[in-house]
Amino acid sequence: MTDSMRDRVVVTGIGSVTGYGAGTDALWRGLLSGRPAIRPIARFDPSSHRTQLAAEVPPPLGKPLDPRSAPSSGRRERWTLCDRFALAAAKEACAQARLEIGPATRAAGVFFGSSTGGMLESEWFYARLTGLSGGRAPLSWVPAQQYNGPGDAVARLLQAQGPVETLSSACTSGALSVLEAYDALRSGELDLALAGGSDSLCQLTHAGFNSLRAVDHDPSRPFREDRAGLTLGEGAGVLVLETAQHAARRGVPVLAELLAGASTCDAHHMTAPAPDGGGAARAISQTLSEAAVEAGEVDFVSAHGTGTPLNDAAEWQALASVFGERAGDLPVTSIKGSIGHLLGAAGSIEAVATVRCLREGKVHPTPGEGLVDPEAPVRLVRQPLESRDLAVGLSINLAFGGSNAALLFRKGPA
Amino acid sequence: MSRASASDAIVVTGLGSVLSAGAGRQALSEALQRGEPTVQPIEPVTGFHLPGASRLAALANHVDLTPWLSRRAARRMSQPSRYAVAAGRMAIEAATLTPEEIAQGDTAVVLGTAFGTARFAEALIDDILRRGPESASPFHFSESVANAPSAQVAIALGARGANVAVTQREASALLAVAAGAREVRLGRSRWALAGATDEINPLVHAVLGRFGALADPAPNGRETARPFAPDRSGFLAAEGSAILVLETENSALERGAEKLVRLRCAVRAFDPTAPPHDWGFGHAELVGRLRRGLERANLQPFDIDHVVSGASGARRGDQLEREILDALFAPRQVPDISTPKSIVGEFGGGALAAAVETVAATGGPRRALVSALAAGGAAAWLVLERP
Repeated sequence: MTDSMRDRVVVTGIGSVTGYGAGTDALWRGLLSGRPAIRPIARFDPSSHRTQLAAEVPPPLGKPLDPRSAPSSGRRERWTLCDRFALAAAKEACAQARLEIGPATRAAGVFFGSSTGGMLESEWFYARLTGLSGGRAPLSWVPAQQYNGPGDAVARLLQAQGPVETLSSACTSGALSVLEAYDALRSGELDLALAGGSDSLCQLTHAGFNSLRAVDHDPSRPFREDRAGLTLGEGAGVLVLETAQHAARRGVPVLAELLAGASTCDAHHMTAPAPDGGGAARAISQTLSEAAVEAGEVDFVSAHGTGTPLNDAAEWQALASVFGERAGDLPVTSIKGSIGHLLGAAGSIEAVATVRCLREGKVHPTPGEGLVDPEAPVRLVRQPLESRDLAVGLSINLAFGGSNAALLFRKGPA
Repeated sequence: MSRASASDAIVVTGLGSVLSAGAGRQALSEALQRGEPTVQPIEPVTGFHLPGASRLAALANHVDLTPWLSRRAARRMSQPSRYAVAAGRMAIEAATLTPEEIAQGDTAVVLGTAFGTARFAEALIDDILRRGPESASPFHFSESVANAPSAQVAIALGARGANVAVTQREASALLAVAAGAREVRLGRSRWALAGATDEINPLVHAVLGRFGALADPAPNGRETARPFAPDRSGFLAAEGSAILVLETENSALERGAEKLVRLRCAVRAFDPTAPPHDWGFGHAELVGRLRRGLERANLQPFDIDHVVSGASGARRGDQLEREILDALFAPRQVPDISTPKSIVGEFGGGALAAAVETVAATGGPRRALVSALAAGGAAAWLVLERP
């Protein structure tokens, strides 16, 4: 055991729930197929909404429970759809990391991101409470509808006694939860942590983004010249993170190393990123600096890439600022053209996909037709990009309120 | 920015607060001395409350914020954002920091919230359900995200470091302080603005009442939270904002800033026996975590001479708190306990501000344990000491 292993943070399990279904294999197959999981909305009647597409998690997992049904567990705990996504992804990640409920999980911490928690169920509750829809408004719906519902549900599943913390910073929540876990592991507070994010599609977010005219009528086309907005998705992404020493002691394979991360704020506008991408550039630069990795060593970027004109342009400015002349040659992909924008889970699902890319030696494509925007001339990955030399991947997220986050991963041993 | 040395302690050099008792430290100090909460009736027109339900809360919407926030700027913010921007400005004034310093210091903003911007989220849902999705207000939507207040603080003050909203019920404020301190300790930010902001709207108040979480109406019409009392019946819901300026002791010394308190350590834990709506029974494991956290800071329970308890009058929550304190200090007596939530109400930011005020006061305790146990299982503690 070397001293350096004590400081290193590694990924030993990943789990996901997306529009492609439950499981990271389903996600990976879907991403490589180039066929988006974006379809007409089935959860609610979208006909009166400005746009009608989203990447919903398919049934059975994506079907909200009938609120009149029996509680979801024997402890009178009623899980929201968002909780169920989180639990499914956490179980998959734990299985891959060979974690069973026991001393290791009891000593673990859980760090989770969610932008709306159980807002879907809150909408049902409110409709009944106010008489806008029929039926009783049972109080048992309420406690699990908070932001901290998914993270707490995962912690109860693991019987975790370490810190449990939910971060709700809109679209950077998932990345910030990974960063929070990284700090806890690096400081010696923990040996093992689950970090992730979960969000479910609801009317509030769909109508809200439409009110900003930020949703495309067609599936989103990140970085394309004619892009016209994002498409919402839903689901969860979870990573098992541990110190290298702890993973070695448990004898589990390392999927990737989390080299560093950083977070900044534009302090510019509530909904628009700083046009010069300065805040995002600082997050990337700080991450590279903390990891002691040169910009030239980054092999690909998993961009926030929402498909909104402002986001993609600002993100290009950030990349150009950090990577200089190399920015236009750096492979860039966005998962959002495939599974939509998972909001509070975006950072974690993109971290999961980045780890999988490194593991497979392949960068997944960004679906969609159209020319790349000459004002944001990234080298967009349009077909699966295979390279045995793929070693370092950067994942970026930007959010409402100007929050930016970056995470840097290195491929684990073969 | 270079990494701070591991031994560089974190101190509080500014405190801003907007609470039902008023704005600023003097209003808070006077309220703590009076020992009485300042309460107002919840808007009666909504019809969410059951007959005979608690109707009072420690609201802060009557507090004049214009010294820190223009009416024009306030119109573009939710109530929690207004509270937070005012408290943030108050805090940096108290810390004698200029906007230029805040901008140059990559200042982090970490704010906890239990319920987020509840009024705007409700308005948005109401508009969508009653009038259709096209009636959704973009202003309500952008301010309905939980990080809207921390973002508004960053925009107002030019804070360009990490910007984070912590949403872990009653533990949010202390967890936010722990996170802000870490940003400073790791050298990512020279300053962190950390604390909490919350609002109580009629819907949240009514739902808490329906759960039996609120203090029962007394015959004289006042609802009084009675932390640790055998006949306690619940807590007094409260709102407002409290924000601390955190920096390293070296940084404070360098610029000659007054140090209010030193943050000796922060400890975090979770009780998985807790159901989502209540407190659990895992006091032994929580005490174990707390002890180990204190040990990591080279502290023993007998080094603590005061407890600023998060007990609020909640039936199960106060019992768990009592069990933890008894076990932590056994076989000795638990030191003096203060319970500021009987005065500032159940708002983590108010309790945090009261804890800082208690330790910073002349003749205050040497070293205090500050606790926050959240319904659902999260737990956080700070140890604050006189610098």
